[in-house]
Amino acid sequence: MTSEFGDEQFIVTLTILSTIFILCFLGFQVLSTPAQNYVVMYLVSEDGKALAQNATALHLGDRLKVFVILENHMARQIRVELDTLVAGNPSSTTSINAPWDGGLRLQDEVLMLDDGGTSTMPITLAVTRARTEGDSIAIEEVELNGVRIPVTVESSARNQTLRFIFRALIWSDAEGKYVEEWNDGQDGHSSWLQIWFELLPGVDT
Amino acid sequence: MRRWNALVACVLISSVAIRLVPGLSYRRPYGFDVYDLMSRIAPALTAGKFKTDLPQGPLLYSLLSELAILGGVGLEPIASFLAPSILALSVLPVMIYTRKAFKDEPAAIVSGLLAATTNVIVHQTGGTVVWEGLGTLFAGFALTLLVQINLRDSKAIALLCMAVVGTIASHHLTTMNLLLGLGVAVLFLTARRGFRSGEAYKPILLTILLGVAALSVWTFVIPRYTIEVIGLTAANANVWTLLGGGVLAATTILASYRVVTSKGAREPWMTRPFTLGVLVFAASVGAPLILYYAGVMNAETLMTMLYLGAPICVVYVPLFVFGLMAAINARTDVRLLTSLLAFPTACCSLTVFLIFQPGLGVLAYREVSFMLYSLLPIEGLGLMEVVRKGTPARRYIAAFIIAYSILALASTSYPSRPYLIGLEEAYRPSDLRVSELAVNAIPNTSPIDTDIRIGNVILYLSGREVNWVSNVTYWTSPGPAWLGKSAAAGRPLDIPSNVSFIIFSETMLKSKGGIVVDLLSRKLHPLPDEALVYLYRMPGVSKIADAGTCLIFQVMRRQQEVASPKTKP
Repeated sequence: MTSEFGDEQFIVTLTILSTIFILCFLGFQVLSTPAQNYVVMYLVSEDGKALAQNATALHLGDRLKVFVILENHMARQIRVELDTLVAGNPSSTTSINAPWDGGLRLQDEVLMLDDGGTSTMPITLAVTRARTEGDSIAIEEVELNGVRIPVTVESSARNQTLRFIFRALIWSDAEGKYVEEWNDGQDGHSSWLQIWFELLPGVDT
Repeated sequence: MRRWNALVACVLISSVAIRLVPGLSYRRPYGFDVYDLMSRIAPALTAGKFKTDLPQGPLLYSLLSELAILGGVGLEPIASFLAPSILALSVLPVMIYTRKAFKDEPAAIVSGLLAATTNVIVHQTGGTVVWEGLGTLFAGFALTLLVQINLRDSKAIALLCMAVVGTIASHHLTTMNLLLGLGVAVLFLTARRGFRSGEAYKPILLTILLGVAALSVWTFVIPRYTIEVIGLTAANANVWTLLGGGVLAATTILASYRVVTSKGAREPWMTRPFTLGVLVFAASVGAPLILYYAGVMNAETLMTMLYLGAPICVVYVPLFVFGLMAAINARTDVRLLTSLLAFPTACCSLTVFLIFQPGLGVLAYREVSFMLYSLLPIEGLGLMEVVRKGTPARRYIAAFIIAYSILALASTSYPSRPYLIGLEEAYRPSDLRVSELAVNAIPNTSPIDTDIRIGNVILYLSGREVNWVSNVTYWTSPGPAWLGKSAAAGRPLDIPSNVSFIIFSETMLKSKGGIVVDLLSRKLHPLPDEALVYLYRMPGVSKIADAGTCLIFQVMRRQQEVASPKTKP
C-alpha cells in the first residue's frame, strides 16, 4: 500500500487531512466561544438624553429627576433589588469595589426582569434639609419620589462632593440572597451608577 | 482534472472555514478596522454618496454598499460572513500562479493550502484589514499574469491591466508592494541582460504606468492617508534612520539578485529537512528571547513574536530554502525566477526600511503577509521536492505532520489580547450596547473621549463624520484626550476642559492585559487601574452607564471649578 504512495496520494491525503483539521477547528472555536451575558444599567433625564451639565448643581428643595433603566441580557429571568443611596465623598480607605460603602440606603425596590426585558424607574431626588458651616455641609433630610427621609451625610466641601448612588443587586439561588456580583460567562461584575451633586449656597437651611 | 477540481474545492472550503471562525463564533463583525470601514459606508447608504475621505481605495466600500443595497442585507452580516467569504478566494490566484510557474499541480495545492491557513494572511484577508484583503486578491492575479511571461498576448495584457487597476482601487500598501516589486524585477532584468536587450522594456512601461496611476489616485482621488503617511515617515525620520534603512533594503535586493543569477545551489539540507526545521524553530524562539533579555524587545512584543512568528518560521523558512534550491538547480528561466523573487524581495526590503523609521516601524508587520503570499509558489515547490525525495512511508508520515503544521498555523490566525500587544479585536455585546446608548443619549456636540476601538463603533452607529470622537482629527491629530494621555503617562491626569463624556472599556485596562487603542503608528499604552479608581472617586465625574465591561462617565463639573454663588429666587 505504502509503496504506491506517490505525489497524488500524498497531496490528496494532505488536503483531506488539512480540510478535516480546519473544519474541526472551526467547530471547536464556535462551540467553545461562550455567549456573553450581561446586565446594563444607565440613567437618563426626562428627555431620554444625558443629564444637562448644570443639572447636578442643586439648591435646597430643587428636584433632580432621572430615569434609571435596567436591561437584562443574562439569558434567564432575574430578580433585581434596586437600591438608592446617598453618600458623601468616599474616604481614601474605601475600596473601589464598594463605592457605596458609607452611603445611606434611601429605598430598595424589587423588580423581575425577563431575558431581554427592560425596566425603567423614574426617580425624583431633592435635598430638603441641610446644615452648613463654612465650607462644610451636612445633609439632614432627602426627598425621594415625594417621601421625605431623615439622613445624616456630611462633607467637608460643597463642590460636587455628595453622591446619589443606584445599585442593582441580583438574586442568587445558590446563596439564597441578593448579591452584588453577576457573572458574564467569564468574569464577575457589579452594576451601579452614581451622580455627584452639590448644594449651592445662598439659602437658609 | 476532476481530482484537481476536488482538491481546489477542499482548499477553498478550508479557506472559507478559517475566515468564518470569528463571524460564526461571535455572530457579529470582528475587528475595529471593520467598524472603521462600516462607519464610512453607513452614512453613504442614506446620503447616496460617501461623506468623508476614504483612507484606501474606494472599491471595497463601493462593493459592500452595492451588496447592502442590492442584496437588502445589513452591513453587520455582510462584514461578518460575506466579505470574509469573498476574500477567501485569494487562494485561487496563488494556486494558478504556482501551477503556471512550475507546471506542478501538487505544489499548487500546497501553496493554496498555505494561503488558506497562514495566520497573517488569514488575518488580513479575513475579518480585520479587509481592504488589504481585496488588494491581495487583485495583486495575486497580477502576479499570476506576470509569470505568464508572454506580454505580447493582448488578452493577458488586458487582464493584467484589470488586476492592476483592481489593486490600485483596493489598497494603497498592496499597490506600493506591486509597484516596488515591478521596480525590483526591472532592476534585475536590466542588470543581468542590459537595458538594450529590450527584455525589460515592457516591465518598465508597466511600472511607469502603474506608478503614474497610483500617484494620481493618491494625490487627487484619496488625497489623505497615503501621502500623509509618506509625509509622516519623512517627518519622523532623520539622515541616519533613512541611511540605515536604505542600506539594509539595498542589501536585501542585492542578496536576492545574487540568488537569481546563481548558476547552481548545493542541497545539503534536502535530505535533512527535520534537522533544518528544528534549527529554524530554535532560532525563531531563541532570537526574540535574546532580544528580550538584551532589553531591545518588551514582553508584549516577545509574546506576539513567539505566538505568530515561530509557527510561520518553522513552516516557511525550510520550505523556502528547499524550493529556492530546487528552482535554481532546475535551471528555472531567469525571467520566471525574477518574477517569483522580485515581489517578496520588494516587501522584505520595504519591511527592513520601515523598521528603521521612528514611529512607523510598527507598520512593517503589514508587509509580512504580502511577502509570504508572494513566496507561496516557492514554498509549494519546496515541500513537494522534499516529499519526492522521501520514501513512500516517510511521505505518509509527512502528510500528517504537515497537515498538523497547517492546523498550527491556522489556529494562530485570531490571537487573543495577550498575544496581540493588548489589542482586542472581538467586540463584546456589552461594548456594542453601551456604544448604542452613547449615540442615543449624548448630544452630537458633546466631545466624547474614548479610543479608536470604541470610537469606530460610535462613528458607525452615529453615521457621523469621522472626527467626532474626541473632537480631534481622526488620523493625524493626537488621539484620545484623557484616556490616551493618562495611558501614556502611566497615571491618571487631570481631565481636560474639552472632555464632557468618557467611554471606558475593560479592554483598555492594564490589569486585563488591554491597551488604549490609538493610531498603530504610535506606541500603545495600557490604562493604569488607578485611572478607573480616579474616575470613580473624582467629584463631578458621574457614572451614568454600566454594562460590566463598558462604562460611560459624564464630567459634570471639575474639582477646580468653584460654583458661582446664586440665590434661589
